[in-house]
Formats: sequence, C-alpha cells, structure tokens
Amino acid sequence: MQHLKTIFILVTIAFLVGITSCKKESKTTQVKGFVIDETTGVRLAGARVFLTKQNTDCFSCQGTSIAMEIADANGIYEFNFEHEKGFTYGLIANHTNYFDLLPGYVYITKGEQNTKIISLSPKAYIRVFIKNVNPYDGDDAIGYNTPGGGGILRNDD
Amino acid sequence: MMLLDIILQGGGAFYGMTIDTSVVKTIGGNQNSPINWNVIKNNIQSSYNDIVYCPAFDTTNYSINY
Repeated sequence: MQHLKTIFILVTIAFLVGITSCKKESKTTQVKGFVIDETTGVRLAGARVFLTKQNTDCFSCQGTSIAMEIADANGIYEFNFEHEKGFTYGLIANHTNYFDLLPGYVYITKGEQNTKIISLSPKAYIRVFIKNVNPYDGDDAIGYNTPGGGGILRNDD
Repeated sequence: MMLLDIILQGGGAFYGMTIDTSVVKTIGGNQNSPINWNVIKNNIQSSYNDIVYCPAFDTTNYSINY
C-alpha cells in the first residue's frame, strides 16, 4: 500500500512538472535597435519597421506582419511581444526612396533582448541614352545591361 | 556575351538603323554600378563596359553612341 502511495505521488509530481513546462510556450521577447542608411550610416527617422511572424513548420508560408513601428527622430524602434512556440519572428522595414528590407534577413531570438541594426540601401536612377550614329544599316544592334532591381521606367522609342 | 544573354540578365536590346532612345533603371545609390553593352555594327560585334558612380536619390545620365 505504501508503494502505491509513493508511485501515486511520483506520477502526480511528473504530471505537474509536465503541465508547467507546457505552459512555457511563449516567452516575452524584446527587440530594439535603429534603422540606418547602409551607405552613409545616417539614422533614418520615419522608417517603418514591421514585426513578422511565421509558422516554423511551413516552409512555403509567408510571414504575416503582426506589429508596426515608425522609427523616431533618431531612427530608433522597439517591440516587446510574446514569442510563441512554433513560430519564427523577424523584421522587415521600408522607407521612402530606399529598397525594402525583405523577409528572411533579420531573425529574433526567443526570450532575449535582441538588438538589431537595420540597414536600408538608398535608391538611385541611371538614365542611359542610346543612339546609333552614322554610318548605320538595318543589321545594327545593341544589347545593354545595367545592375540593380527594378525594370525599365521609361522608354522613349 | 551575346545580345540574348544580356537581355536574359535583365537588360535590353535594340535592332535597326534609327535607334535614338533612353531607358531608366532603378539601382543602388551611393555606389559604383557596372554597365556593359554589346554592339553589332557592320557585322562586327564589340563588347564594352564601364563603371558609373550613382549618388543616392539622383538620376545619373549616361550616353552610348555606337
């Protein structure tokens, strides 16, 4: 009888420990930092920073934005959130005249005070004037290539 | 590099006598950007390339006369 009582107590303790550990599915996590111009290091006030959440088991899923913060005059942002088990959290950001920071570059570690500096690359434009000069004939051709994303914005044919 | 290769890389091509045009592309600012082009003229193909510094938030003009 004494053995049964001991076993019962042990099973109860194990059950309670299990319950307690299951409750630790989320953990308060903080991420803060600032947004800078990648080329000059200047802090970017007004940059929009998004906290994204993505199911860890779903490779084809896109993260959804769950919070947004606008960087202050010193480019500083901060998020405090519950980091749920089974999800990956990250940051994306954008600012006028800068290329967007896309998902997959900044991840947040669970249950810690994360400091993340977000670098955004400024945009510029190149206008290429192309002219076939004399002497020319109908078989002339030119192919050109310039770097960077974005398509042709204007074509004065 | 053939013209088709250049087009597949995200560039463009023009054929014929009366080519007088311009194209604008978005690129990274405050950095050097390579530009390259191939020309077929009098059935002779020539390749060229250059590096252009493009300040941020600005439009840099570049001319190719061939």
